[in-house]
Amino acid sequence: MSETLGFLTDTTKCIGCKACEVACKQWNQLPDDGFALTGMSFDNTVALGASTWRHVTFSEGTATGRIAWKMMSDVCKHCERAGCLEACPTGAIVRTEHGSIYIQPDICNGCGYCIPACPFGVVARRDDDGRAWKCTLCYDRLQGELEPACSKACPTDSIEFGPLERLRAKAATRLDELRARGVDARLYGESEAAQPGTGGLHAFFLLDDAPASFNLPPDPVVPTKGVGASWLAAAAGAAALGVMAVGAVLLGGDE
Amino acid sequence: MSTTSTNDLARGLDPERTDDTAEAATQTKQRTPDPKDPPRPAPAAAAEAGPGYYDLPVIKAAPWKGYIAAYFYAGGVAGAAAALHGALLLRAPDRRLAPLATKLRWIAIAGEVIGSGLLIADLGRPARFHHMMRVVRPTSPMNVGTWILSAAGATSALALVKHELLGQPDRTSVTSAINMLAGAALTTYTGVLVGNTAVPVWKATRVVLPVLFAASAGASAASLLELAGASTRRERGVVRRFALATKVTALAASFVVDRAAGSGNVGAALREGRAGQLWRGARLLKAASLVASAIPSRGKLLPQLAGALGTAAGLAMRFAILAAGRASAAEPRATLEPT
Amino acid sequence: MAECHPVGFRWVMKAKERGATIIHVDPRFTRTSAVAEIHVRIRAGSDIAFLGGIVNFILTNERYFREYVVAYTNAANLIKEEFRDTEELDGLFSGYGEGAYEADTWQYEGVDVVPPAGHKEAVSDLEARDPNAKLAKGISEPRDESLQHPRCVLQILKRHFARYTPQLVEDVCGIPIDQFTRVAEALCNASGRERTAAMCYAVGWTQHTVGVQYIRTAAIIQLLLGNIGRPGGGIMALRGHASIQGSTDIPTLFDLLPGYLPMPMVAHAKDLAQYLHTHRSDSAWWSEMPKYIVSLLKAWFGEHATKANDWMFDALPKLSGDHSHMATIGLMADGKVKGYFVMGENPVVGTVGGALQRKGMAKLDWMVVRDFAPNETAEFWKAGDVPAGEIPTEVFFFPAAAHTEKSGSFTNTQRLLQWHHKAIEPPGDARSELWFTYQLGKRMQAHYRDSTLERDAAIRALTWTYPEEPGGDPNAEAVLREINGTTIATGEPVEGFKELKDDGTTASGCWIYAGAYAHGANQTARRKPGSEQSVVAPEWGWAWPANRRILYNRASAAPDGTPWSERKKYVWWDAEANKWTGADVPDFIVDRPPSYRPPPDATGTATIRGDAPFIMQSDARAWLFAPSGIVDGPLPSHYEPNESVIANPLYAQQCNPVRLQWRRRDNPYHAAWADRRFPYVLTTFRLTEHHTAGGMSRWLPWLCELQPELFCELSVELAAELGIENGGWATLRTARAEIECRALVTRRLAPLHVGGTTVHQIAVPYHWGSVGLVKGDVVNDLFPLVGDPSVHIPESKVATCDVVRGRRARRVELDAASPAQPPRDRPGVGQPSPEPLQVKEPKH
Ligand SMILES: Nc1nc2c(c(=O)[nH]1)N[C@H]1C(S)=C(S)[C@@H](COP(=O)(O)OP(=O)(O)OC[C@H]3O[C@@H](n4cnc5c(=O)[nH]c(N)nc54)[C@H](O)[C@@H]3O)O[C@H]1N2
Ligand SMILES: Nc1nc2c(c(=O)[nH]1)N[C@H]1C(S)=C(S)[C@@H](COP(=O)(O)OP(=O)(O)OC[C@H]3O[C@@H](n4cnc5c(=O)[nH]c(N)nc54)[C@H](O)[C@@H]3O)O[C@H]1N2
Ligand code: SF4
Ligand code: SF4
Ligand code: SF4
Ligand code: SF4
Ligand code: SF4
Ligand SMILES: [Mo]
Repeated sequence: MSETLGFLTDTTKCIGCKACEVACKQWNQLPDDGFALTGMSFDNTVALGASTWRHVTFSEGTATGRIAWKMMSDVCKHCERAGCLEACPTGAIVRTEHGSIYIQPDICNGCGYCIPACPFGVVARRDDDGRAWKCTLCYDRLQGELEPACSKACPTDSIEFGPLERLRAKAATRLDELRARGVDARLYGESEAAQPGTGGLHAFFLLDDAPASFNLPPDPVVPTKGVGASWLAAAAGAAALGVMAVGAVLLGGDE
Repeated sequence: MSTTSTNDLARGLDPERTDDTAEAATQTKQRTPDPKDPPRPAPAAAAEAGPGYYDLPVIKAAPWKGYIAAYFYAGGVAGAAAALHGALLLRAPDRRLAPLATKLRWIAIAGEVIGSGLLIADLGRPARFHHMMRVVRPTSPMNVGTWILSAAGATSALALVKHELLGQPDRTSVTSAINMLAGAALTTYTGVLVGNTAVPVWKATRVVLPVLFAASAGASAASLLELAGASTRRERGVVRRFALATKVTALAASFVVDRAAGSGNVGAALREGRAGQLWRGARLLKAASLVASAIPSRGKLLPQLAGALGTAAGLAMRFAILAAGRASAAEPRATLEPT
Repeated sequence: MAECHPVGFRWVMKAKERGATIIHVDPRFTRTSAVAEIHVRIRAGSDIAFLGGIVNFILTNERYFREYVVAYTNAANLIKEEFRDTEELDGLFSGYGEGAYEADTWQYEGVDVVPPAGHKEAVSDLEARDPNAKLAKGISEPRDESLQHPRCVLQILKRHFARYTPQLVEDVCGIPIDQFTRVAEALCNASGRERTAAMCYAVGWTQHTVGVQYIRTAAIIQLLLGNIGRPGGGIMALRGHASIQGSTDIPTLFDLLPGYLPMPMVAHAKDLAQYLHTHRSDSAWWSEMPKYIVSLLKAWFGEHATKANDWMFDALPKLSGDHSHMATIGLMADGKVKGYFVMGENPVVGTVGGALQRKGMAKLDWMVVRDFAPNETAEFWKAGDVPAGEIPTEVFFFPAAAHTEKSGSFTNTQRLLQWHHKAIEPPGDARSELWFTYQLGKRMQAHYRDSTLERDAAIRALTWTYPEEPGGDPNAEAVLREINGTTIATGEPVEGFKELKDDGTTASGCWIYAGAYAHGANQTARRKPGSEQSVVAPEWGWAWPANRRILYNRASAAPDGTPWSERKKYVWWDAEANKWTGADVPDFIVDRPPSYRPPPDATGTATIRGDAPFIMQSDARAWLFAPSGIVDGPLPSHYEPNESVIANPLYAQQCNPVRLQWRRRDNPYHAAWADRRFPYVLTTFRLTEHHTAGGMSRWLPWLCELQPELFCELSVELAAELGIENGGWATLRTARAEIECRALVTRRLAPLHVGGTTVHQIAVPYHWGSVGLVKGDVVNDLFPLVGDPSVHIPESKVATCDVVRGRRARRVELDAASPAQPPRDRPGVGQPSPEPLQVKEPKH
């Protein structure tokens, strides 16, 4: 496995130009999501989905009294512990040599289990195609030593692509800078320590507002975490059924 | 000028290529048929309302159709039938229970075959159903479940052939042991399957759901037997005892599920909307069928009533759980403000 | 800027990371405001009051860069006694009459004519009247460098802007006093020896009846603060279409020849001599002009152009008046225009007076449209305001090749030429502009080969031989080579415009581009990464003139030639080597020492002092006060837009008195203010997700899904008042038309408190039309033909409007009688309006 690659998405640098969203769609030749005005500020693609692998959120707030307009380019987090991958029954979802999470379109049979298994609501199934789709971390571009289309297109470097370790270091310094300037900035999912639930994200974020306001769960946890208890319960349930069956058969006689 | 063609050109894509880039490329040609007409919240509402982002869901609901609920029922019944059949074998061979054994065999195999059909029908790419068995993945209850279902199905089929068709004597054997165990597992793993997701209401209840599923699987099987009617008094006794036990357990488990889900935004999924109705309905039916099974009677009618109520209860229960999952996924507060 | 120049904005964000303060002045809170330290919410059309307030702040608090101002600007020059300011004439300058100004009284004391670079016609009548009028020669005296003389420019400036107080700014623009002072302070603190501040603008500043004066006010501020000609300073015109800068350098404009040589006018161009007399300056760099026009004529007419035949100057077309876009539309509607070429434009959507555009087109014999796909202009006859059956116009549509399908250059912001190479073949019948123009020219020459008519001489003589490429395209580099210019004898490309001659030995298609093909190599194709060269990155593309990245950069050094500060070191005088040197190509006569003073009898470039950086001006000084060259006044003063909801708080003169108007029934204006019929301010803007009239973006599903429907932005307060819901329908109405759109109710817009009254602003993007994947009403149907007198730009950024809930009932009749127009623009009540009834042809 080559070195782990990922994204640092810095919302304080985002100008909401959506170049990332378009670049992703163009490179991956994804269909549009339909043409309807949502009335949700400048966000008319609403959410990540099977045909939108980068999505820019626009939140208009008047929190601090003066109006604030915050944008964030959301994407698959390529989790260290990926709910989608662990849930996938066909092995269609794999971890690549870059540490990214990739769905093999030729394997996926559209069971849809990865969808509720993702704590971020990233992956989705295309109705007209039957398979699950999400960000590939531009696996095909990486093969040709090209950086992902989205980060390549980002004019302000709000999306930075590179070795995870370098991005983490960069994020730390950036955070200090911003804090020094009095910006209420925070990192999201930068490490296992910071987000034990997912073991840390390979695509992590620098936010200048509460995660929820960017539609990020405050405390995401990979479903398989603590599912052991559930298996024990299953064993108990099975045993109980067995006992009841045996009991029903052995105890008592005719009627 | 079509953007697609120029883009394909620029990327030198041969539309005939079968690797995934080309598959993706072909997608551009078909546009999503009817544009979604999303909510149009007032920005004031958007800005001030809710902890989240325009009250949009944080996670995505499972895309499963009714097939899956039906499968949970069918699989459950099949599993319970297999388990009960296994229990029969533990007893010295008894002519008076032979008809029951036969019924259970057929119920099991039928449930397993129909169940598999339902599973396949729900796939986005049904032709690829066998991909489920490319790998063994303990972290994926759905994958584990596939193996359980296969084991149960295979052993049931084997036994069916051996005893019902070739008329060989029915005894405990490795096959029957596997069949009993797989059957029991078949009734419960689905509880883990839904529990192993980010869906708040499922996650919150995942240590009870398997028990609930097992018990109500048993109850459902018992109800079918009640419907079918007993051929012997001995059989009637077994069925009645099994029915009472499972129905009581299932009912009890359902209350524990409620407690686990809690009274906050998570539990709301089981209280409100269609899911809430189904859930309450399922409980009433279960209770009613329990009463009907409990009342001693020599007639046919009462057991059949109990059976009918129990079957309805079993189905409602499965649909309620899946509906609750959908509702819970759609409610951002369930994820952002669980309590 | 973040919305429309996202890639350029990358550098603004980098500056921000380095601690720069970003101030965004806009009626709306935009994606730029979102990352700016200060967002100044301003009433559309009121920036001169705001900027004038800053000028006043700088002057009254003595915050100006004195040394710079005294040495490099005309602050010390004395102006004629006869000059009268708007403060004295209640909104008019001296010299006003019949809808235009005579600039006589605006001149420096002691001279009658101070020729501007290029357009001297504004003052040349006066020469015509008085043959022995005194021309400014080089640095004109008298000056008062103590800046105390009551008639020196600085004192005039002080008096002129004295009333532009913070309070007035609040009353005109709706900008709170404390915010205004914060901005003024920030700007001043970021200027001086150690620091510089830059201003960026685009069409929020230009599309006004006072557009040029907006920029003038900015220039005054930047000059007072010493922010011109220095690194990190300047006024950045963020350009529009790819190569829109190029299309003014080698113009698609009616009144310019390549390189900003004025287009000859019937009145002043009976021969080359008269043309030169009218436009040439005797002093400073514009004295070189004859070399440029002669070289241009040689490039166009080759050996046919000889000294004997005046270089065929006579073959050039001459202007008889205003032939700008808007004027032409009016003439079209009157049936006076027969044919119309539309290449790479979509005026039915993009240009004001959409309905009038269509009316005009319906009266043509033929129209040629070149575009990727038939746009609203090619399909104007489908609009329905004139039944298609009654339209005689024959429309020829030619599919065009996109920039990826042809080689060529872009010239954009910062005058930077960048070459782009053909990536793929154009599909089907699509051809490049170059192909079309070249092939058309070839056919025309063939057609007129045997004509003996004088008027066809130009076509017959035109040099039209380029190496052809397989598809029939002329080789683009060969065209660039011709533009660069050659020494005719050797045929070698010239190294720069300094080599050009007025004796017919050189040819150059555009003097300012001379050097773009220096050493026979395409300099514009250079792409050396910034990391591998100096911060100035001289080897990325090529900037005109002479690959100079900052104009007037001699001003980055003090008068004595030493840098103002180590921190802002850029170009300086190297005493040892006896020449100007530095990071950039010095914008000065390279061996002229700072100490040089012109002898009294000096002419031409010899008149340029060693400490006078602004060499294109006849006195080589920057003009705080513009004695000539601008037709609507030597100083900017605040006028209300052509349509406004309030009376001008400053002067009885409501609007720019010499603005271009077309008073006709099919171009109604809403003249009244505080009028319940049209109570709101309407402004327009762009979306990052679409491009201009939409021909390039409304066909792309990936862009359409991002901004699918035409909408208007309005404040929560106004929406509540009118019962308009977010995402619901709204109908916008002006004196011209009504359109329907979705409503985006947002806190990013807010009511302004302007001098006691509450002003609501409504903003609407103008990208939609009737073809494409997403369609919508044409916003420009709402706007009238009215414009800035100096550059003929339409006022498409402000109008008065009404907005109601729900969908449009019917399209307003094209010829609907305009609403009654109460009298306005009165200098003093009761007197007749000094305003022209029609200014179709501004005085030239
Ligand atoms: N994505 C995208 N980029 C583009 C274009 C595009 O269509 N789409 N068009 C290109 C072209 S042709 C051009 S010319 C440039 C234009 O670039 P910009 O000038 O930035 O474009 P606009 O959005 O039209 O106008 C800018 C702002 O001016 C504000 N404004 C309106 N009236 C006033 C006023 O009186 N004073 C002040 N201070 N602000 C005012 C508007 O609210 C708007 O936010 O963009 C170029 N780049
Ligand atoms: N209300 C209002 N009106 C405005 C403005 C505003 O801010 N408010 N802005 C004004 C400004 S700044 C501008 S620039 C105009 C823009 O107005 P237009 O220039 O009329 O609009 P565009 O859509 O840019 O038209 C350019 C056309 O050229 C085509 N094209 C692109 N490349 C080529 C090529 O290589 N060859 C050929 N033949 N065609 C090509 C495109 O498909 C497109 O249809 O709008 C002006 N109108
Ligand atoms: S974000 Fe969701 S889809 Fe992406 S890797 Fe993590 S779990 Fe999988
Ligand atoms: S839908 Fe495809 S990717 Fe997702 S879990 Fe099922 S098989 Fe795996
Ligand atoms: S990495 Fe590639 S696939 Fe993923 S969002 Fe960026 S562009 Fe799209
Ligand atoms: S491209 Fe960069 S700046 Fe633009 S929206 Fe995406 S992340 Fe933000
Ligand atoms: S569209 Fe082109 S010109 Fe405009 S910002 Fe992007 S790269 Fe620059
Ligand atoms: Mo423009």
